[in-house]
Amino acid sequence: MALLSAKSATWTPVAVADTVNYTDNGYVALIGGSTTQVLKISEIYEGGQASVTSPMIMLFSRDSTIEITPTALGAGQSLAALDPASAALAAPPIYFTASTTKPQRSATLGLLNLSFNAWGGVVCWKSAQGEELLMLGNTASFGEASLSAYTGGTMGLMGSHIIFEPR
Amino acid sequence: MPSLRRQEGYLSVDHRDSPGLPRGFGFVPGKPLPPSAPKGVHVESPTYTCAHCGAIVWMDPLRTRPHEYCARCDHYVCPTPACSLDCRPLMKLLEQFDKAAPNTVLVGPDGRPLRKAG
Repeated sequence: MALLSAKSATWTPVAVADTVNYTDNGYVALIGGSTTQVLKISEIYEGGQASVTSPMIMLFSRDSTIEITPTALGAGQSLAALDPASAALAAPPIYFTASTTKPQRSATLGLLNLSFNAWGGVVCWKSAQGEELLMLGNTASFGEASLSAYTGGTMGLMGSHIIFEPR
Repeated sequence: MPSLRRQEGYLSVDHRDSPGLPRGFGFVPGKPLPPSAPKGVHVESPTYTCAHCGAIVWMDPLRTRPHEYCARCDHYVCPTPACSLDCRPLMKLLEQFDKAAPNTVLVGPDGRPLRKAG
């Protein structure tokens, strides 16, 4: 399978507590394209773009409530294969930042804490081969994961990408 | 015998040109710990993936205690009690899910049912 990059060029997180509805365009999230699809996440990057100090508690977490009817990606947002020769998937995974029914971060399945200061801060996590973050299907709480801000701190502009491989 | 270091990922928090994070910032009870990265500091450290729940654990280079380890699956695991007590590898769960008949219900890593669609 091919590696995909889910990218948002510039966005400002909206801080929310666990099991509270996300705010549209204040988070980024991935959900599987079918009930049996496995997503293996191998890299998460955050680059600060704020012009004032913006310490943020950024969490990559599974979602206990998943989206329904995601909104199409907007300007500066994309889900693209790293290799241009990649074949299109029959059931492509969905990268989204807004939806009709809002997702909620799980209170117990936080996967990675990527807190940083968006004024000049840069964060990158890469997995070892075979040790990727795993997602399965497209239902809660295993099929959807999101990068979002936890309450506290000061929100600032940032860019991000998530590199993963559907199977 | 393979080394446990093969399981290590990489985390970089670069605050060399940033005010960085206040001391203790980012600690949320029940969530994975963030690295401490104050102003002017570039933290580079290994991470590992819990073999039982899939959470990523930052390996603090100043930590002196050994990290939690499951001898049954030969993998690091996270410090939560559920992951330390029993060996339920996530990869094994995925294999079971792959092979399961439609409408089978398995137990997910959070204890919630994981149903394979019919």
